[in-house]
Amino acid sequence: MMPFLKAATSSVGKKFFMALTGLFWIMFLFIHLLGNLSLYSGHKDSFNAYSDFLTHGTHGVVYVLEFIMVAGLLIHVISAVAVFISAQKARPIQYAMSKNLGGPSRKTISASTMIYTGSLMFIFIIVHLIHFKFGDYYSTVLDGRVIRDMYATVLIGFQSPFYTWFYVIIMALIGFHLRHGFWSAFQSLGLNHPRYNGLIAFVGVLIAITLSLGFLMLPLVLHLTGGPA
Amino acid sequence: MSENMNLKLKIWRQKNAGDKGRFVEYDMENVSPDESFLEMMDELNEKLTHDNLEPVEFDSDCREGICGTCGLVVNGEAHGPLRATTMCQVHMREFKGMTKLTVEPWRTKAFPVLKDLVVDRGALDKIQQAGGYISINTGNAPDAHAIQVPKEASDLAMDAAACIGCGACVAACPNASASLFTAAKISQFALLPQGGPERKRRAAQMVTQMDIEGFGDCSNLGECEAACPKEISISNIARMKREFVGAMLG
Repeated sequence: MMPFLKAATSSVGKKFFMALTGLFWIMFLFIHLLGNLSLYSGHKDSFNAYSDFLTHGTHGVVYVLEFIMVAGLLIHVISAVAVFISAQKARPIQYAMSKNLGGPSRKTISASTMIYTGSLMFIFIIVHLIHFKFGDYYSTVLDGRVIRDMYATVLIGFQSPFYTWFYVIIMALIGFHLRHGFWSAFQSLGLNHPRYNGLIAFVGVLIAITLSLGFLMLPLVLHLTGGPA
Repeated sequence: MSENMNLKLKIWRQKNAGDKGRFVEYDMENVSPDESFLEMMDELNEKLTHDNLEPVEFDSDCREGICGTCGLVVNGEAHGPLRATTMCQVHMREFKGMTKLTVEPWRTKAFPVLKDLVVDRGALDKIQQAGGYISINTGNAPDAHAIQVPKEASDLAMDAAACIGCGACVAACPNASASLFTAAKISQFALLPQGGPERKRRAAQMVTQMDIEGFGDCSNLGECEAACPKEISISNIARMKREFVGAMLG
């Protein structure tokens, strides 16, 4: 048995934990998307009730989850940067000519831009938190209680064309990131089997499209329509 | 009989490991499409020798595609444009219609250029020495069927053992990772019962050595499999990861 820290920071270990944290975040994105769907309902109360439940109704469980998410994100990002740096160091002199070999290769645009799409997503997460979670505070009354009117924050936020297009572009990039990321996570965990490889790649594309379009539509709809009537 | 070719070769020249190196262009005329790429390089060297110039150093040995000694990057492709083939088995007809060929050595810090197109692939030997073996007491050969091996496992082990250690996987990898080589060497033992007793130590030590040698990390891009003259699958890399995680978690 290897010392755990040495193994975890090795080339294989880094990707193992990058895969675990990546898959965890994909799970979170699905839950986030489900929550967002309440915005489409047209009633500000359902979204506000959901947002109030997350911040006040979980008896602190949400803080544990938030901690895991932040820790997971940091592990993911730090590992990714380490992999990127290792690649730069390993080839100090670049080829004069390079070519994608095709065939069994999986080097797609998605795969070779992971560090760039990932960096933009990291910046996005910070902007997103400042914009909404720590953004403008409005109040509303629900069932006789004064709670935060998150619905108003979202609606007013997406009146800005800058924010709307920023969100739309990043959400499109998430699709690219997940297309390679989902399959790659399985490979990094050692889960590769001729019987299931096609399925894993297909599910990866499906997840990429679902999450990308799901998140992308919302700011666009809210911006163009000004919110449900 | 196809027409002979006229080519401009842009070849990496480097005096020694300490030299910075540069590209030098050479004209080759009347090249037969039926000669091999390395034979064309031999012709170039004869010409250079005749002109009292230093010939271009490159590696080759068996010229039958089985020894793993040759290896060049031609127009951005490790072992040239033909898949599942070593450089020595690529004929000039594969470059039909082209007028300029860029010839470079394997490029990674772990394979220092010794001269021109010759690199030192000793780093791969060190990975192999770190655990690519089984420890057995010598003595009489055991009975042929004393240890039973499923056909599927023996086939997969043979596929992995087809690795000739040429280093094309490293050369083709955008990260210059040696994962496919290391995975093939780990897999050929992991799949067989004889490799069982030392499997965790083997995976831990070989991956550790691979990291020490300064190869990049694997990003699951799969260019290695596409470049491999023996078509070794990246499913071996997944096996290496399972073996390593086994060693990591106990």
